[in-house]
Amino acid sequence: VIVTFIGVSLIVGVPPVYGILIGALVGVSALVGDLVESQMKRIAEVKDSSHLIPGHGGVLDRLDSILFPPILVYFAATMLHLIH
Amino acid sequence: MTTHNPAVTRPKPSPLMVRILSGSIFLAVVIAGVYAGIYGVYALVIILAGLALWEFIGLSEGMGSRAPAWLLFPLGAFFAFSGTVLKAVDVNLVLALALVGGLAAFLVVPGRRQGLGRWAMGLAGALYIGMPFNYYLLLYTSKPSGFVWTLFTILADCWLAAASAVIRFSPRSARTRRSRAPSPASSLR
Repeated sequence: VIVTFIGVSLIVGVPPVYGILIGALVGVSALVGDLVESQMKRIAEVKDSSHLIPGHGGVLDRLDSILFPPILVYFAATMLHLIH
Repeated sequence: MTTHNPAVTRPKPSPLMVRILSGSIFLAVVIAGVYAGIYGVYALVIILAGLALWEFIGLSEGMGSRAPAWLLFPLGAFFAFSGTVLKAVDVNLVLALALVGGLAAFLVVPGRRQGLGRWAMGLAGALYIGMPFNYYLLLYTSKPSGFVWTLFTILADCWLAAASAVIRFSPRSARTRRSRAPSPASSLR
C-alpha cells in the first residue's frame, strides 16, 4: 500500500485515496497469487517449481505474487479514468 | 595422499544471502528490461513467460495432467500479446481453434485417454501465465505514465516478497519452526 501510494500518488499525481485503494488491491492480489501457486505446488508435491534461480526456486516461484496485481491495477486505473 | 585443506574451504553463503543476491540480479534484469523501452519489455515477457510456461509443464505433470507444450506455448504467447502486438487477432477465433483443434488433436496423439484433462491444463496454464503479462503490457503502454504504473506495481509486489522472505528467514521464525518440530522424545510418546 505504501509503495503504490508513493508511486502513483506522489509521482503520478493520482488522488491519495485512489493510491491507497490500488495499493490495497495490489497487496491482496499478490497474496492470492502466492497462495494459488503454493496450492499448485502442494498438489504436485514439490517444494519449488524448478531450481533456475538460486535461493528462490523457479521463475514461477518468483512471479507467483506478481501475476495477479497488474490485472486488478489495470482495471481499477481504467475504471477510475486514471489511465487510458 | 589427499590435498584437502579445511582452512582454504570457502564459507558457504547463508540461504538468505543467496536469496538476496539472486533476487537482486533478477530484479535488476526486470528493471533494466522495463527501462530499455517497449522492445526490452517484449524481450522480458518472452523470456519470463517462456520459462514460467516451461515450469508449468512440470507442475501440471505433478498435478496429474501434463499440459501439452504444443497447446501451452502458442496459446500462452497469444494471451500475453493479445492486447498489444496481436490486438488485431480475434480472441474468439483463437479460443475456438484451441477448443476444436486442441480437443481434436487428443483423438490421435499419444496419451489421449487423459486428453480432456491435459487440454484443460494447457488452457489453464496459458491463461494463468499469459494473461498477467498481457496486463503488464497494457499497463506499460497506457497513458499517462504507463511506465511508472508498471514499475510501482512490480516494486510493490517485490516489497511484499522481500518482507515475506525476511519473516521466513528471521531467527525468530526459525526458532518457532524448531520449537514446533517434534522431538525424538515426543515422537516416541
